[in-house]
Amino acid sequence: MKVKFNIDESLQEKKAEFWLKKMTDKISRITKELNSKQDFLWCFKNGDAFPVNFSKIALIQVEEEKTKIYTADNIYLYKARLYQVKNLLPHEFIAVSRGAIINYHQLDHLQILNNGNIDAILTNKIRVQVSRRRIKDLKERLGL
Amino acid sequence: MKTFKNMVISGLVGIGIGMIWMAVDLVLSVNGQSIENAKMFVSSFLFWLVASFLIGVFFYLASWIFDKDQWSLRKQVVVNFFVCFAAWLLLNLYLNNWQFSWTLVFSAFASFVIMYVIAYGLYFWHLWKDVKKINQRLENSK
Repeated sequence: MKVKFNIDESLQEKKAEFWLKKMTDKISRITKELNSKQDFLWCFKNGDAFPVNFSKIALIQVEEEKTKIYTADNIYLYKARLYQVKNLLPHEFIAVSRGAIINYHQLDHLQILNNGNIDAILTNKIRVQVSRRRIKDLKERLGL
Repeated sequence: MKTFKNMVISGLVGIGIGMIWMAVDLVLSVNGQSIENAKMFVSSFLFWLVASFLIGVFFYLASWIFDKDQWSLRKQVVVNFFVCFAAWLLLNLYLNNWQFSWTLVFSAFASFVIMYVIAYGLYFWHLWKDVKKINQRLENSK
């Protein structure tokens, strides 16, 4: 796809225009991200609320029916279901199973375990199981 | 839509495996004579064409067992194997006019194991390659 930028400091309102043969998931994701004004999530720890920037989030996982948010050095609680938070996330997040979403920029490598399961090892050494069906999505997201 | 597409692809893979199976069976049926003597009925060919497609679709549906992330791979494979084998045995019993015999069970089991190893052997080999590719890409982007 050809990408053209017109940079004009006097512009009143920023706009993006796409010329496409058809709408794709990738373009939908990009559009959603361009329209999103929020780049953080309100997360909770010990009853206090913290704005956690998307880029700091490594993993969002359901544990004991609670949505937990992992950053490099903290674990927060998010007061909504996983499918609800999924709709707010930018495109660098990808569901690796029904109960976990990772930030693929924080993915170090995948490991096939002796029992045949696949674990994603994140840069902060957190391990999360990857559903074999999601490998294809991960591959696509990495441009493979 | 994606599920339907994957189901059709699985059915077509089933046709691929089924036709190779049929060709091998046909070649073996000539008992060392010239391969030009091999013959089969069109009705039989069409039956196995459709059956192979349906077997492929069934394999796809049964593979949903592999979505049970909380199960170990061993448990998933064992459950999947017996679910698919039960269906294969029923098909073989149907083809044998519902006449049960241990020879039929053993022959169905042997043919099923070969089919299963080919289908899932290919699947896991692809999966292993995909994981390797992903790790390579992640390594290169560091």
